[in-house]
Amino acid sequence: MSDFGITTKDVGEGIVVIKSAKLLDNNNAHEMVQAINAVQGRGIKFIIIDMTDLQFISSAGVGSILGTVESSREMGGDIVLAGPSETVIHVFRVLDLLDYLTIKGSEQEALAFCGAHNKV
Amino acid sequence: MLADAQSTGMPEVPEELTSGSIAGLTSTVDDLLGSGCKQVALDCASLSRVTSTHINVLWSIRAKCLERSARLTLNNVNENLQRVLKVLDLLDMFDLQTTIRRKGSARPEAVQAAAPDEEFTIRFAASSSAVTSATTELRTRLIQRGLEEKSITELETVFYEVATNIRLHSGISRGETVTVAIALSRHEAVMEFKDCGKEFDPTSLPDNFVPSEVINRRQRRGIGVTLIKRMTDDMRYIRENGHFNILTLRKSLERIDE
Repeated sequence: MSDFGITTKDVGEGIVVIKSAKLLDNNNAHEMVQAINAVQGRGIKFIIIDMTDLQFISSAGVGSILGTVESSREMGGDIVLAGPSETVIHVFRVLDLLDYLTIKGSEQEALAFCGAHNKV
Repeated sequence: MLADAQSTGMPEVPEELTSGSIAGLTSTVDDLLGSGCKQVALDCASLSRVTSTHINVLWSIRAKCLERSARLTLNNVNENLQRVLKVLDLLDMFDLQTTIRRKGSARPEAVQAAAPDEEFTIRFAASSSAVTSATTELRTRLIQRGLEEKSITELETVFYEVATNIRLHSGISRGETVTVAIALSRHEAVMEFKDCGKEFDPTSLPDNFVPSEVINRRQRRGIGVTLIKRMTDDMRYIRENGHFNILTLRKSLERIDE
């Protein structure tokens, strides 16, 4: 995978995983928005953004998530950030976003969260 | 649409607070807000001694500004005031500036700091890919230096955000070069960005990032400025000889070998 490539995977039960590449910055933040919007447009309520490979997130990358999370929540779902590193978490912490975002330590935890909430 | 973003003056918070001086300060702020000013800056240079009355006054002025959707900045904040605000858990409630931005032909004088033991320069063209590459180059140098990961993350982020702001807003062409002089000492990093773009003072931009508002309004702007301001200890801007923007940022460091 390139440093900027973003891929989307349906995992069933109304959950989609969008995998971020190493970098989420001005080069590809628009692709993340497009990927999220495309999934939301299909009526998918729960999106997991797999951040396990993400090494750097810029303000544009943060904005790509913040600008779309509310739409998922209005649908009764959420955008769940899976496996972000401490580096990425620190950026969210500086922006006082840890209380606003749903963050799980791994894709498995994120899937469990989505699955549990999808049944409600 | 915001009114002229610059405050018409910088009211001073007096050290001696009497009913008269409080009324005078409050009246001045009321006048500024009433004139449509959206960015109020208070000069706290006189506050060698900070009392609960000072905090109450600052808090009430903050409330006034919030009512008018204006941004309040405390300038020339010394360690005493920072310490009191920290103890009261109010540090995050105020936008603090430890220096006044200066404009003029003279370069900013050095804040007290140890002499750097490593200096290098990174140059990049005004393109997105070049900014990314330059940021990676900085990260590599900082890792080699042995800095703690949090410092590396913050310096890398600040570098990227400032570089991107220059690329997007200075008007320089892709073929032109931005130069960043970096000086590292044991406890401090200094980054000086120099570009030949149009005059632009990023220190004047407000840090008014509110998570709930951003999420509810689906906004994506202003996050970069917030990151820059919150991840640096000092920012100074000058316009040199009418041709160059020079932005100097300072940041205290943590080292993994300490």
